[in-house]
Amino acid sequence: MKKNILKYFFLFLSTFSLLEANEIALLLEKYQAESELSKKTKDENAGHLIVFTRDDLERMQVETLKDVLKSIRLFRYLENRVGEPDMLNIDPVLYSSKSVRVYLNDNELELPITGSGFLMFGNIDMDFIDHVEIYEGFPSFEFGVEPATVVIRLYSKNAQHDSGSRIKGLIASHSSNKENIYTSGYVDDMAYFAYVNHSDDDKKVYNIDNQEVKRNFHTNHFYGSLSQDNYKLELNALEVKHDAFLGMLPYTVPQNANMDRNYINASFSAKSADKTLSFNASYIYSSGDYQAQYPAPLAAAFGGYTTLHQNYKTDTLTVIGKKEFKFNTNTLVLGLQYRYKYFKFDDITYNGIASNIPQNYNKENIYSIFFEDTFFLSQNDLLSISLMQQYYARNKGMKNESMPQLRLSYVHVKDAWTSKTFLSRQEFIPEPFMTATPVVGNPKLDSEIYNAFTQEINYKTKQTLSKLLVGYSVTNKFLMPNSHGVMQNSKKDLDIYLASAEFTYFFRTKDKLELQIDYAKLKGSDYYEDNTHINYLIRMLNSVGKFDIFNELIINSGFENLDTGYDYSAGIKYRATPDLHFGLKGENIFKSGLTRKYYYHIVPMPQQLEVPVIEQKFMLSMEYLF
Amino acid sequence: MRYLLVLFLLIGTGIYANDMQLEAAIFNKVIMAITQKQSPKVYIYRSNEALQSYPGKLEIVARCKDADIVILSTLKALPEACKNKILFGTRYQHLYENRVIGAFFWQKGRPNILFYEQRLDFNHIKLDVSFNKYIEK
Repeated sequence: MKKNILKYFFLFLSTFSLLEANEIALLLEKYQAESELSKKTKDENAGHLIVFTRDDLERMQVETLKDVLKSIRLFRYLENRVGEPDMLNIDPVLYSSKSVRVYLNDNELELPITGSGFLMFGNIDMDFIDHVEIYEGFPSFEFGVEPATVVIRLYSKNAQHDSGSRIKGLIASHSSNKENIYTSGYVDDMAYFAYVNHSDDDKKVYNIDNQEVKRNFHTNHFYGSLSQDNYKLELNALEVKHDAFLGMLPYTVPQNANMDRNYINASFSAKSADKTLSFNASYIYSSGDYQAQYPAPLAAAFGGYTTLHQNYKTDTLTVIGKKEFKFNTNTLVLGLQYRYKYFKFDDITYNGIASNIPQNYNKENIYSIFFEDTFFLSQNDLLSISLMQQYYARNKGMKNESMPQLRLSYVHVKDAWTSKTFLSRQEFIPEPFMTATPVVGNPKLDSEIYNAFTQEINYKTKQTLSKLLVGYSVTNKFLMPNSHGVMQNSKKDLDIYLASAEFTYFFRTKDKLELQIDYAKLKGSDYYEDNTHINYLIRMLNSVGKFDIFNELIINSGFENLDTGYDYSAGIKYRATPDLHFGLKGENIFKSGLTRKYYYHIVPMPQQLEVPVIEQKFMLSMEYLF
Repeated sequence: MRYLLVLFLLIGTGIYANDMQLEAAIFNKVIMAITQKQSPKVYIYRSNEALQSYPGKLEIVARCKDADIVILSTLKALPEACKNKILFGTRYQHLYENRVIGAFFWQKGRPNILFYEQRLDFNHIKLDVSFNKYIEK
């Protein structure tokens, strides 16, 4: 009897200890999940938000930014004819994504010639990134100096959560490879983070007109930060060398074409102790070099040359100050922003002979003041009014521009329901590549005026999240090229109707199923045919024991010059130990994803090359934390 | 109540509070296990937002000499009165200092608890078996 009592006593003790042990382990696990950095940085009031958390990025084995952009509602990841990211690309126009802006922490990754840095950072390596927030629609003015329709915010890992080091290697189809390392920690009370990446992203080679056309990318990247208390210094440097695919001109296929781009960004940010006053200064130097050689001289009408060589250099200085005032019924944010841009891209030689046609202007000063007042109408209702006034001053006789931007938002929350309504009016100034370019630049262009209304309704239960989004926008003076490649303001308005429905089902502990359908109808431009896009997404993320399993099917249909695609991608990640992980992933596994047609002859008969937007690729990776 | 919506929408503090509450709950468990007291006195040097916001069963004291344990955010210029107290860190680097018996910290993207057996023995601290997996020999 005594023996039995002792036996039960020890059994009780060991069970109790196990429960206690589990309780600590469970608390740590729950704490890790609740500490997702995205929960602290996301701003639901700032736009129609899509978040890829750190857990999503890890389990989806996201290697570059396109891995998430290819599935976002209403947009598709696309590249232009020189192989660079251009989400709104319409060939043969080289760049159409000036309103798609990319941020790394609080710094815009900006290129002055194109207006946004998406063409350099739209497919950036993601191994130093903690999470991604994508805001669709005209987002809050707090985000930046210039207007945008899509804002992609990348947040880097930091010492607060990632003390230690990680090394990673990846090999993939066509001898592609990627190697990177990051290290992070504290020296006294100063936190540091340093990351270095090298990648060779090689793809299938195509043969047209007896010429090989390639779009292989070679990238070197450094990112480092130092922070203490409310001060932060960051340095971000990127070097990209790549084959320029079909080259800039849609008249003939180049024998070879190359693009090199360099980018260095240094920034400093500070916040007051109560975080109501913030300051950010950022300097960017970028340069680049484009070379194309043709097998025979181009027709006289297109210049008659065999080789083309162009260099560019730019400087950007951005200074932003913001102050928040909190009152009983409202919070007011006042901001002053200044940006200086210098750009020189008229260093062009044809057959080795320098062109003597200068660019139309090379400096731009942007002064901007904004206020954003958020009223708490009731416990369930929030109304924000945002006004921004911008002044663009440009040199060499270019006309200066003064333009207002307006944004209204209303958010209503009732139990499990959330409604977000946004109304905006914004003006996009034509960027230097449209206005200042020698020969085809048009300095007389007017700003595009964009008016939009969007409505989102969310319904959340313990296991599901449903979203419905509808919207309408009209763009006056839409910018488009004429038959000589010179940009013009369209006389007709461009109308866009859009809608999307999303459903996410969370099951077991960490598994989720995502379903999404979206629709966009573009109507009324002089240049583009009316068209209707419909996209579908099915994505499943599962974790079973030490395995993370990812499945994704994306169906795109209706895009002009793009054939309907069924992109099935899948991956499996094995966490051998908490510090050693192996990944296997296939992208566009059945080679049936979205394809893109690019012009390589316009006259006498238009001819196009059709290639997958995202090539079939298989990847094997290993990462080790220490 | 008026601010509930704002807290949720603007800064996600509704959720943020959860992570601080969880952090404070973990500190509560660890500190009670170390001190073997139901309401231990804690001195915070220099800051700990979670414990300052959600002290739970802990009594936060203003002077180090009154404390059963000191929770560190830094070791820099540690007051003399704290030097003979039980020191518990919040960064892995705090463990480089032999006087620190353990730490609750983030490393490699995940939260960790770590004690060194020798240091616990030196301070005559006996943790219950539920902490065994967090003690390094």
